[in-house]
Amino acid sequence: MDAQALKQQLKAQIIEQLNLEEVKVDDIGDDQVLFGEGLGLDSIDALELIVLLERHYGIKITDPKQGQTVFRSVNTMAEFIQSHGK
Amino acid sequence: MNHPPVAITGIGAISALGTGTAAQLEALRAGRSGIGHLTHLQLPFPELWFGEVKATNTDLAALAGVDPDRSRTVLLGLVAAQEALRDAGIGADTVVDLLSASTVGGMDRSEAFATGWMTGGVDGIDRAPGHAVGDHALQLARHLGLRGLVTTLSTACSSSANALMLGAWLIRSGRAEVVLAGGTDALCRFTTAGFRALSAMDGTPCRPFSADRGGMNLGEGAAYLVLERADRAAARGRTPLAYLAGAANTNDAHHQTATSPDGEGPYQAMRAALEDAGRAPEAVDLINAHGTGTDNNDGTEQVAMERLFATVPPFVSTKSATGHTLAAAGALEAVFSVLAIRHGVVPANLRFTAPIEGSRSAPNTAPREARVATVLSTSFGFGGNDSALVLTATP
Amino acid sequence: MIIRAAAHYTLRPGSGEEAVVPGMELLPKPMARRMIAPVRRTMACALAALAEAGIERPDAICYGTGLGCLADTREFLLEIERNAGSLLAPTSFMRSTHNTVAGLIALALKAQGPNLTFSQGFTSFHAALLAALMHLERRPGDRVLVGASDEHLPLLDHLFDALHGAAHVPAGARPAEGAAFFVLGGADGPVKGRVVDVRMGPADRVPVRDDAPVWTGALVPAAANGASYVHRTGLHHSAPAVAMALALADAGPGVQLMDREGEQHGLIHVAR
Repeated sequence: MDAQALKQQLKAQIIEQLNLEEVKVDDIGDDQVLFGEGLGLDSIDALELIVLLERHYGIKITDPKQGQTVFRSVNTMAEFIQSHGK
Repeated sequence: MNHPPVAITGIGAISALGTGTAAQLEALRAGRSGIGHLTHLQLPFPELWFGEVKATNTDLAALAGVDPDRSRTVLLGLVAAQEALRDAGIGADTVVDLLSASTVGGMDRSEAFATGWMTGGVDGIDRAPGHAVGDHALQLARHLGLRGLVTTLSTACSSSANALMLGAWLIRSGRAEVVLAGGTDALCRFTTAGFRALSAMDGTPCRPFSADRGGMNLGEGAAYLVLERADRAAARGRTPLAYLAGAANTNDAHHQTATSPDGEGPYQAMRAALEDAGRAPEAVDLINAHGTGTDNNDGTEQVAMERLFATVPPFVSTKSATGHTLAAAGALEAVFSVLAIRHGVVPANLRFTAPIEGSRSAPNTAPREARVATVLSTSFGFGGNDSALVLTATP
Repeated sequence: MIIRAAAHYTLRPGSGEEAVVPGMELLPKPMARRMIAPVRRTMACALAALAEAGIERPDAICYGTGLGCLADTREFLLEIERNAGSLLAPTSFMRSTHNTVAGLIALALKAQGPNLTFSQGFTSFHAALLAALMHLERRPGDRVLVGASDEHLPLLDHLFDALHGAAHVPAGARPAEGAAFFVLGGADGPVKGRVVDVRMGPADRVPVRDDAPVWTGALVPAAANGASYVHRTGLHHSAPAVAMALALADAGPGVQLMDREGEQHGLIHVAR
C-alpha cells in the first residue's frame, strides 16, 4: 500500500476506533497533533490506538511510553507501520 | 460540630490477609503480604498477581452458614458483616440500616452467561436476579435478619468510603441509631480484564508510592463497620472501638479515569473530611492512603498530601498487602484504621523502593508501634470520585 | 424540601412514539463522543433541569440507577469474549461503572461537590433523594442535582421477568429507557413543588398516609386510593423518578409514590 492510501485508511480507522463521530477523514491533517490541543485525544485514546495497531497491522507496542512518539500524528503512525509492519 | 458523635462499635473483615479482624491485625503487625498468584479461583490469568481470599466459595459458605449457590461477593460480605454485628453485640432485636457497596455485584457468577444474555440467549437466566449490583445488599439483609433501610452505593473504588459517610449522615440526622456500613467485591474476569485493558496492572507484586511503581494488583474482600449513635452505645454499656469523626466526598472533575496533576479532588476531600471532623491537619497521626500503585494515582495523591500537610504524617498503602479490593477498599482500610488506633500499630507500605521524583515525603516501610489517635483514610475512584474519612480515638 | 426544576423523558422502543428528550441542544460537543446515545440523553435531561433552575453547576449530585451502564457493560463483555488472549479496548470498561453518568455530569460542569451513585433496583432513586435531603439539611443554601436513569437494551425484554418474576411485572408493561432530574434546595429561584417525605425500609417502616393518593410502581399492587403509574413512565428502574416529575403536575395534597425492590419499600411524597 502506498503511503497516501495508508494514511487515509489510518484516519478512517482512528475515527472508528475512537468513535470520533463529528470528525471526517479530510478533517485530520497528516501532520496534525493528535493529542492534547490538537485533535484532543488523551491517555485512554492512546490505549485504543495500541489496540488498533495490533488488530489491523499486527504490531504490538508493549511500552505505553513508546506510544507518545508513535501517535504524535498520522504521519508518524504511518511511518511506524511501514517500518514495523508485516 | 453540633451533631451527635458517631461511634464505631463493631468491625468485621476478610481479605487476602485472612479471615476476621484478628487475622488482619496479625498480618499488619508482621508486615505480611497477601499478594500471590491465584490458588483458589478459576480465572484465566495465571501470570497475574492478586490479593485473593484463600478460600473456595464452599469454604466461605460454610463460614457464613449459607448455601454456596450464590455470588462470591455475597459470601465474602456475609462473613465480614456477621463478624461486625457479633463484635458490636447487635442482635435481631435492633433495627439496623444497611449501606453496602459493591462494583461487580454478582458478576463473578453471571459473567459466563451474561455474554449470552447480551445477544439474546437465556442460558443461566436463573442467575439474572443476582447479577444486579444491588442484589448483594438484599441478600445480606435477608441472611443477617436486618429490618431497616437497605441500599447500595456504587461509586467505583470509593464506594464503601461513601457508604460509611452516608452512614454517618443517617446517624447525625437522627434517621438511624445503628448502621451497618461497608462493602464487598469478589475477583472476577470482568474487572481483571478491564484494569488490564487500561494498562493499570503491575506484572509483579505492586509497589505503591515508589518511583518505579508499575501499577496495581487487584484484590478481593469485604469489610463492614457498625456505626452507632455514641449515646446509644454508652447507654448499653459498650465502649466504642473508635469514632467516625468526619467524612467527605468531592469530585476532581478532570477526567473519567485519571486524577488532575495537582490532586485537587483528593486534596479537597481530605481537607473537607478534617473540617467535618473538627480536626486540624496537624492532628493526623497516620494516613491510610489510597495508593493503588498506578503512575497517575500515587503521583497525584502524594502531591495532594504535600499540599495539605506542612509535614506529611506517616502514610501507607495497605493495598501493597491486600491488593486493590475495589468497593471493599474504603471499608477495609477503615477497619485497618480502627485496628491502628486500638492496637497502636502503624502498618507498612510493602516493597517501597525509592521516593517519587520531586516529592518531599515517603511512606512508612516497616510495621511499628506508635500511639495513633487520628487516622485519615482515603479512597479515590473512576468518575473523579474522591472520598476521605477521619477515624479517631475520641469523639 | 423545595424543588426548583424538573426534567424527564421516557423512550419506549418499538412503540412508534417519538421521544422528546429535553436539553439535547445543551450537550457539550467535545464530550459527546465519549458517551453512547442513552448516556447523552440522560446528560441532556440533567442539563435541562439545571437550565430551568438557572444554575450553571450544582453543589452536589445524587444519582440512582438500577442496572447502570448496561450497553457499555454489554460491549466490554463481548470484547472479552471476542478478543480473549489479546489486547482489549478499554473504553467500554471505563464507561461501565455505575457512577459513569454522575461522573460525566461533574466533568462537564466542573462540579466538584459530593457525587453519589446508588443502585438498588426500583428504589435506587429513593436513596439518591434521601442523600440529597441529608446534604441539604447540613448545607441549606446548596443546590443539589438529584435524578435517576436507566438504559434499555432488547435483552431486557426477556431479562426483566427473570430479574423480578413475571407475576410481579404489570401485564402489558414493556421495558423502556427513561430518566428524570430535579434541582433541589437553594435560597431563591423558581418553585416547582416540594418533597414532603422520603422513606425507605421494610413495609412496616414505610407508612402510607390516607390524605394523599398513592401511585404505585412495578412491583406494588395498586392501592385503594390510587393506581399504577407504570403505563405512564414505562417499565425501568428509574421509573419512580419519572413518576415524581409527572406527580408535580398534580395539585392538592400531592402524590405518594410507592415502590418496592425485594423486601425494601420506598415511598416518596411530593406536592406542588
